[in-house]
Order: sequence, then C-alpha cells, then structure tokens
Amino acid sequence: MIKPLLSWFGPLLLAVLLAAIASTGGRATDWVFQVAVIIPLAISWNVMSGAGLLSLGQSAFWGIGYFASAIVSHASHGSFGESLLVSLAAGALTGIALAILTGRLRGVFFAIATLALSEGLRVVATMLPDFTGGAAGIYVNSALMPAQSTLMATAIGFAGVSLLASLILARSPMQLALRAMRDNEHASQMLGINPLFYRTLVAGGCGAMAAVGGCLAGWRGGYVTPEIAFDLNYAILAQIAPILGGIYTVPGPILGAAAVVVLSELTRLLLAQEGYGLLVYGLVLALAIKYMPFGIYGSLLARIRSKAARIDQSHAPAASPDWADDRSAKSDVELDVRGLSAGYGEAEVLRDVSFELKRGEVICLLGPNGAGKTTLTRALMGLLPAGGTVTFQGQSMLDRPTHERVNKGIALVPEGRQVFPNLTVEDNLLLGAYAARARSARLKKLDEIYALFPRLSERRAQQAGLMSGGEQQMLALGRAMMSEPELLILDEPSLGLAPKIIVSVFDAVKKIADTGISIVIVEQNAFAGLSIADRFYVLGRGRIVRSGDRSNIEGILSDPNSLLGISEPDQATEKAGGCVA
Amino acid sequence: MTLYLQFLIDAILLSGIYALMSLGLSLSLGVTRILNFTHGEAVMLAAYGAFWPFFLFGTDPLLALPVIIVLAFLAGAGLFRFFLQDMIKVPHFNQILLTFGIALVLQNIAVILWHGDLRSATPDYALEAIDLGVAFIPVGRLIGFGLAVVLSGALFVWLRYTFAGRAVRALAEHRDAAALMGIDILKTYRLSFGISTALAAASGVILSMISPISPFLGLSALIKSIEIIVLGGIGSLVGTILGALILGVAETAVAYFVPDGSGWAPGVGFSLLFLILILRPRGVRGQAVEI
Amino acid sequence: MISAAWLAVSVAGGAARAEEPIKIGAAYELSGHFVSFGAAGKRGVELALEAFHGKVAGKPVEVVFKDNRSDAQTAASTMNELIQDKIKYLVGPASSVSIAASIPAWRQAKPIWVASGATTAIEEQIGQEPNLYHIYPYTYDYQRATAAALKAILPPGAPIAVIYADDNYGRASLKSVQKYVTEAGLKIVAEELIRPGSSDLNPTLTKIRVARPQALINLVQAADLITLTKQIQIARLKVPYLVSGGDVGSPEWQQSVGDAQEGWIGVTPFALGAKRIGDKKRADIFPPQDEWEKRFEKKFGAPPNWNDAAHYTAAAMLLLALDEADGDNPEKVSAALNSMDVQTPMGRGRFEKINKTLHQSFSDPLVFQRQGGHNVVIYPKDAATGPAKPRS
Repeated sequence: MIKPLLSWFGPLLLAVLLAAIASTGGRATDWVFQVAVIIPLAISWNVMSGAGLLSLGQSAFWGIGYFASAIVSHASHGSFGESLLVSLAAGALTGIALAILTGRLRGVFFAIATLALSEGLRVVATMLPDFTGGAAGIYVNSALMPAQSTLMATAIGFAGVSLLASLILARSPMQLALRAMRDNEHASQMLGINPLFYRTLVAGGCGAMAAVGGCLAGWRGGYVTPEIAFDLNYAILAQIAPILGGIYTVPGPILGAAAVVVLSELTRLLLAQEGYGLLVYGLVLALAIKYMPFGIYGSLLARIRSKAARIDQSHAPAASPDWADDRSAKSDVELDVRGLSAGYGEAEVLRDVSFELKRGEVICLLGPNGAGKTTLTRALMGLLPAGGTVTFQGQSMLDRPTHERVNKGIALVPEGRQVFPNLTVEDNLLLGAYAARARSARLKKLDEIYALFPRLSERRAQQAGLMSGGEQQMLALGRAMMSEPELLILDEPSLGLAPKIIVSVFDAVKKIADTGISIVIVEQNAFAGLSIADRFYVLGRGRIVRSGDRSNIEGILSDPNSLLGISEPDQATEKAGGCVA
Repeated sequence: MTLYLQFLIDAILLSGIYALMSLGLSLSLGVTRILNFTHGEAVMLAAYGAFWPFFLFGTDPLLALPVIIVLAFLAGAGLFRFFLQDMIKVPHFNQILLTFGIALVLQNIAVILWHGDLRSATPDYALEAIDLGVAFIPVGRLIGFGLAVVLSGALFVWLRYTFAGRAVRALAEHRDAAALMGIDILKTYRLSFGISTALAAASGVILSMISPISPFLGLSALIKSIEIIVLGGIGSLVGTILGALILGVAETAVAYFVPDGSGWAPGVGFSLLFLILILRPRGVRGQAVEI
Repeated sequence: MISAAWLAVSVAGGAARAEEPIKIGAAYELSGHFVSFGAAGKRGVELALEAFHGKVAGKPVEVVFKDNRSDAQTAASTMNELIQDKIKYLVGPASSVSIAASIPAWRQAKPIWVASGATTAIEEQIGQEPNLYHIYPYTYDYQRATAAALKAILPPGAPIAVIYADDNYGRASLKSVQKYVTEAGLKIVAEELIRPGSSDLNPTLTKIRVARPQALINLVQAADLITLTKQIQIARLKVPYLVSGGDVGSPEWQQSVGDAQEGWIGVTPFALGAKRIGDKKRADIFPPQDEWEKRFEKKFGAPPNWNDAAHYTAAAMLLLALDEADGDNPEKVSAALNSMDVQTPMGRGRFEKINKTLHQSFSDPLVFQRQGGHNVVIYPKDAATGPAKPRS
C-alpha cells in the first residue's frame, strides 16, 4: 500500500527535497542544480538501456540542448522558455533520426553509432562558426537570462517531470514490449512487437529529455563551445549514474545522480588534481559492472526478492539403484552416462539420461526434433554445462573442459557439420589434428583420411564453405578422425543430405567402426541410424524411454511404426536390456 | 603536381600506420567478440613507454619497441585473464561498459602521472625528410610505415602457417567447432588479446616518434580503430587493411582538397562510419556477423 | 569558566579581525593544455606579492590560487567559487578560453577584475563594465602591429598566408588579420585551418607551399606552435618571414624548437632585453626592465617571458591600488586604478577608454624577430633595435 503511494508522490517528494537543500544557499545551490540536470540525463540513458539501446554518446542530445540555450537566445532573441522548447524538439528529432538510421543495428554497433553521433556533432559544431560560434564559442544572451531562482525551479521541476515520465512508462504495457526487446529483439518481433517503432519512440523521448537537461545547464554556464557542450564526460555521467544507482530501475538514476555529484565534489576537494575525477568515475564504473551490476537499488531489491528457479544440480535424480553394478569398472565399458541433465538457462531439456557404450560398439540414440539430441552431444563434449555423471574409460568427464575431453580421445562430428568455411579442406583437416595426442602423426593421418575419402583429396585446396552438404559431412567426419579418437560421436549425420549421400556417409562410418573405434550416433533418421548400430536407445521427454539391440532392430526396420506409441518403460525391461515392441 | 604527389605520399604512409593501429582490435574483436575499449589506452601507454626512456636517457624508441611489445603482450593476456575471462557469457552490454571503465581508469592514471599537456619526443632522424624536389617523404612516417608493413606481414604469416595461428583463425570462425578440435579456448583468447595489445603498442611507439602525445590520444586511437574495422568488416583482417586505406586516403583527401579540410578531417571518419553502418553494416569484407 | 573562555575567544576573534587578510582571487591554468600560461601567471603574482612583502597598507594579503585545469567548465566553476567566497579582487585566468568561460559567472557579483588576456570576448561582453580593468593588448592590437610591421618590410600587394588554430584564439585572431592585413595593402593568398593537438600538418603546409607567400602568419599557440614550427622545418618551407604571437618570445618555445626559431617574428607587449625605464615613484615595485628581469631570474632561475611580465604587472597594479586605497575598500581601489599612471615592464600603465573597453591599458605591442638567439625589435620604428632579415 505504502509503496505505490510513495511511487506516485515520488516526483513531488523529489522536487521538495531538492528545493529544500537548495535553499540553504552557497555551494548547496550548485550541487542541487547539478543533481537536477543530471537526473533527466541519467533517466534518458536508463530508459534507452532498458529497451536494449546502449548509448555511449548521450552527450549528443545533451550538447544539442546546451547549444540551444545560446543559439536561440542569441540568434533569434528567443526567451528562456522558447529555448527549452527548441531543445526539446531538437533532441527528439535527433533521437528519432538516430533510431531510423540505425534501424538494423544492435548491441555494439548501435553503441558505436551513438558515439560517432556525439563526436560527429562536435566536429560539425566546430566547423560552422557562423551558426554555432565555432571554437571561439558563443554566449547566452545575458539580457534574456532568467533569475537564478527561476532557473533552479525549472531544473528541479524538470527533474520531477522526468521521474514522473519514467514512472508512467514503468507501469505501462509498453514496458513489457521494451523489456522483450532488450532480451531478444528477434524473438520480440515474433511476438508482434515492431522494434523500429519502439526504438524511435524511446530514442525520441529520451533524446528530448537529455536535451532539455543540457539546455538548462547551458543557461547556467552561460558560455558555450563545442568542446563544452559535447563533452564526453556527460556521456560517461549518463551511464555511471544509473549503473551506480540501479540500472533498469526507476529510482536508480535519481540515487545515482546524487551519488555522482557527491562523488565528484569529494574528488574535487580531496584529490584536486586534473584526472582524479574521471579516474574515480572509471573505477566506479568498472567495479560496479563487475561486482554490483544492479547498482545500489538493484542490489537491495535482489536481496528482498527470492531467487528465480534454476536447474538445481543437487536435485538431479540420483542414479537408479539398478545401475549400481559397477559397469564402469568393467574394462569393456567405454562410455558410461548416468543421470545426465542439461538445458539452456531455465529450460531443462535433458532430465535424466542414462546409457552405456561398450568398447568397439556402435550405438544409436534416436529421437524426434526437440528431444534433446544436440543438447546431449554438446553436454557430452562440454560445450554446455551438465549435471549427472559421464565416465569415459573409467575417468570422469563432466568436470573437464572440452579440449581436455578431446585430448582424452573423444571426438564429435557436430550437427550441421560446422566446418570452418573460410579455411581450405586441408586446413580443416589439419586443425582436426590440433589436439596434442594427434599432432605429431598428423601428416600420416592426413594421408589415411584422404585414402578413406578420395573426394576430399581432390578438393583439398578448396574453401570448405563452398562444398556441398555431403562433401562437408565427409570433411567433418575426416576432421574428427584426425584427432585419433577412441570414441566418435556423430550428431545427425544424415541431416539435409540426399539418400544416396546418406548411404555413402554411413558406409564410411561403418568402415571407421570396423577399425575398433566406439561410436555413438545420434539421429532422427531411424533407418540410417539403425542400419549400422549394434544397439539403440530412444530419447524422449528428456529421458531414455526405450532401448534395444540387433534383435529388435530387424523388427523395427521392417515395421517402423513399432517405434511409435512409446511409453515409460518399467524397470524390469530396462534391466534386461531389451524391450518388446 | 606537388599537391597530388604529396597527397599520395601522405595518404599511403598514414594508411599504413592506421592499419597497424587497428589490426589488433580487429583480431581481438573477431576472435573473442568482445570490443576491447582499452585498446586505445594500450596505444597511449606504449607511446609514453617509448617517450620516457627517450626523454630521460635518450633511448631510441625503436630500441624500446621490442621490450614494449613483449610487455604489452603480457599485459593484454593478463587483462583478459583477470577481468574478462569470467565475463564471456555476460551480456555484451556489461563487457563494453567494463572495458570502457578500465580504459577511463588507465587514461586518467596517465593524466595524473604525466599531466594532460602534449609531449614531444622525436629522435633526430625522424625529423628528417627525404626531399624529392617536387615533394618530400618524412622519414619518421616512412619508418612507421615500414614497421607497420613488417609487423602486419608477420601477423599474417603467423596466422596462416603456425598451429597457434590456425587455432586463432578457427576460433574466430566457429567457437564450438574450434573447441571440438581440442583447442583450449580460454588460452587462445588470452593469446589473441595479448597479440592484439602488442600490435596496438607497436603503433603507439610509432606515434610517439612522429607526433606529440598526450594521455588523451587513446580515445582518438580507439575511435579511429573502430571506424576502420567497421569499414573493413569485422572478422576480416584483410578488410581491416582495406578499411585503413579507405580512411587514410579519405582523411588526407579532405585535408588537402576541401577548404578548411583539416578541420573536417576527423568528421570524415564519423561520416564513413555512419554511412557504412547504414548501408552495409558488415563492412567491405566482413561476414554478416551479429554481435 | 565558560564565560571566560568565550571572552577569550571573542577577544582573539576581534584581534584576528583586525589582522584579517585582504583576499585576492587568482584562478590560473595550473594544469592542462595551457599550463605554461597558468604557471607564468602564478609566478607573476608571487613575485608581485614579494615586491610588496606580502602586505598592502599594513595589512596582510592572501592570494587564493585556484586551478582551472585549462578547462572551460572548471574555469566557470572556479570563478563561481571565488564569487561565492565573496572575494572582491581578481587576477587571472591566463588563457582566452578560460577567461571567456569565466565571464558569465563573473557577472553575478562583478568584483574588481584586473584581467590580462587577448580575447575579444572580454571587450564584447564586459568591456564597458566599470569593474573590469584590461591590461593587455587585444588580439586585434597584435594583428594591427603585425600588419604594420609587415607593411614596412614587404612591397604592396605582397602575398601573405595564414595558418590559424581551430580554437578560441585562432578564430578570433583570424578576423583581425583579415582586416588589418588587407588595410595595409597586402594580399591574403591562403588561409588554412589546423586542429589544436593535431600532428598531421602536411596537408596544410603543402597547400601553403603551393601558394608561395612572402610571409606566413601563424595564429597558433603553446604546444601547437611548437609542433607547427618543427613541421615547418621538416617540410623545408621556403617562406621569407614566419610570424606568430608572444610564444616566439617564450623560453619554452625557443628551447623546444632549437635552431628552427631563427628568423621567426613575434609580437609582444614585453620583449626580453628591451629598455623600459621603470617607474620613478615606485621603483621598488616597477624597477627598470633589466633589474626586474634580474629579480625574476633570481627567484625562478630562468628569464621571464611576456606572460610572466603581464601577470606581474596585473598583480602589481592591483596591489598598488589596494595600497593607495588604504586596504579593503572596493570603491577606493577602483578610484586608485582609474587614476593610476605608472611605468611598468610592459610600458606605460594607464587605464583609458579605448574602443569598447572602459579601462584599457597596454595596447601597443612590439614586433620583434629572433636573430642569432636574441630578440631584435623591428617595429615600431622608435623602439626598433635592428632591421628585419628574411629567412634563407
């Protein structure tokens, strides 16, 4: 009850507080004014960031407003109020133009564009002395200067208005759209959100806000040059204040603005030399990002709220007692997977996957789209974090980084081939032998691979990205073989290939299996996968739901429908290692 | 005639130095996908690193160069290890702001130690010029250009023919596939950062020989480097060289042939940047990389 | 007990009040781009204070130094602070941009300001204010002298080129150059811009070379001038006369550029080695020039430049006025300044209404040339010590 009430009265409270402090006179007036004009600057940055638009050049809008104070009063003898309106309009237009011009840019590119905008405007302002006074600068028309109290009241008032605007935005449905945009602009488009529209709206509004802040500062300073107006310091302040106070929150920029002014005054008092001010800013920024990314306010909030649900590794299902017999101790078990769980962020894809592979065996893991096949292979290789246990030749794998697993003798032919497109076939193959275990014998191995895949030999100097799907699959296979693996994992080798090519690919895999290498094939295409497998498993709903061996395979191949209508197996049949269709 | 010949000489020499300055950033960005805002400060610190021995002991900057390169390599690898390594999966937003903050700190440590005014430390031979009668070639810039060519060439050779270099290229192309090759990703990231910082430092030493330096030179070096790699295309080193050529020629052309051109010259970079970002964000030779 | 202590404090307070120092505000560029100017300011003020033994009219003087970091905004806030601290007498800053930025803040209370600095902003914005005392030639005075000197050396219609820095000083000076050089019957054939802090001056120099001028006027200051001088040397620019402002007389520039200084022409209200006579009445404050130069060198270990002289003169005239006004009395101080007439290292120190400035002094600079490591005054004729020589 109290919180919403406080929120809506927030702007009023802010204004009263600021006015009270200002009335004590002397330096306090300066400080309050500084806080008051930094507030809209900080809020403008904060809102833009909230929509996914990282601005490194907020000083662009600020500078436009700053100049407006002198140009309007000087050139056309416009009043204080008129200059504020002009800066509002100019800031809005610049923001809109920026949004439209950078419509396709995201992330870093957008940030760079804002920096270019600010610096570019500075150069333009310097080079047009007839309009802006150039480097010599121009003065605000002192005859039209409002009383100090008017200036202060306007600044405080505008700070309150900015706060109100951000409050209204935060409570509006538009906030959700902006939040979605920030997380993932592509995805938000699929929800029907038009990013261009929102970007333009946000950039225009924030540009206007920052510009008015700059205009007020210009009137106070009285003297404008491009260096002063478009000083990158303001861009830095615009970021530090919300980050320090609490990024993406409403009170954050307010707290941050006050903190920043306090900080800069302290620095000026204690460390009066040039450079200390910005040094402190830099430290604050870096430390805040690293250790307190949610700012003062955000950290407070995080403590109050409960943490979001995550995959809790400690709750991973314990290995079923039926697997308790020490299969991994048996010398013929190459790969032993128990209770594997993995996913992406909060989405759990694999819950409790358990299977085993004996030395020299070929097993096939079948599953439809979305079952988690690629998640499985990536988890096995360490490309994503996973829970449970994975034991290879008696050694635990899950705590090791990818390159160590490769060095132990596991190789993956990844989904979609993932060749290095700009490197030649030979380069790709040689890279396959990067692992220490394979490096010394790589040239010999290369010849072997060329013998196994004559096509690759023909194309050895060609760029891998230009080859056909089948050739790339050969290449990926050859590349994986270059690392002299003892366990080879293939992720959907048949994907996107014509049936004839699939046959030749699987022929090659068979040849490889015949050399004694243990193989795991993860496939959607049951025919292809089962054609060379000794045993198979079926993946469904994040678990192994069925398994079988050659005896079942014949039956399934002649009647694929028997794979449908799978249900949760009972423990007995699993233990037996076989299943009745 | 004098004008055009001199313009050509100046443009080419400038492009070479620009190329060296930005190659490092192109490498680190292409490989780690993190935009390293401290890049400019590496240039600046190296420039001072060459300046002080020269100023105090008369040490030739070219002698200091190898030492500075090695130190820069270690610093770059260290920076990655201690500040960025655990920030890889963090949103780009935060990465940018972190490196930005570190850059601010480095810049202002320099300001505090060495003050914001310009220093000039050019060895005597760098003040010479080869007089062609109708034009002249400043020796300092020529040496800088030569160094740029040598170092860039070394980089390309290393990338093409050594295992570590191939690993770097593979990593830049496809992170996961590179991991599957048994490449130690983190170690390769550190290596790339180290090399990129070393290259930046080399350009800083060259700058100290040919122009006055101040702690603020880092920011302009950074902005120029960003302009160049965006122009040339992220992920392509050849593109970076092309970008450096484009920028060098364009800036010099404006300085020579546009009235008050020297004033507009920095604006050239921004305009080109904006144009490229709007018309062809992937740059002249870049892949359509999304960052 | 308590009342005795209170009594003691109030008595002590009363005694302190009698000895309360007169405060003079001195904001200078003690760091940053124009630190050479600001440091000179501090030196001038300190030497002046020493000449008065730290007291005027029997009362101690406290100079409140502030560092404006050569930054416009800091300059504005230091002026602000000085005013909020109710300081009534000001000298400094030294650079055009800091002065320009300080003006709006100054308006709040308009304390007595003995300002030096060439910027025309002073004249346009506050020249007519009674509390403003300007003790320096304006930039147009410099250019007028330059044009007159060149007119005496070169034939009518001779081609002149101009390089100007893209800053406050350069842009303001350019206008005056255009006016006076044309009035002197000479022809401007090239006007080239350079950015302050830039190192790539080749395009500019090449364009100048192509224009083939007889004289090149360089409206560039401080470190930028050093860079430009060196690059002109490297480019082997064959221009007979190279002209700039006061920096040509500063030891910093001369040491930094070495041999490249030969033949450069400078303009200054104070030339080292010139024979100013000093003030008869207050020879303790304003001795003959050679003695003043010795005093300066003794205290600071190096000869003075025109900045040192200017800020010394400003501070000394202010202190003199305070002395004559019997202490902290702004009205009397103004009156003293208005009627002051002294001989200083910069020439005759007397405030009169010149153009738009109510209280202006020292508007006739000297034009000199560096020959063999010495200053040779070449203009005006009555102060000249030798003829101008073209560069070979």
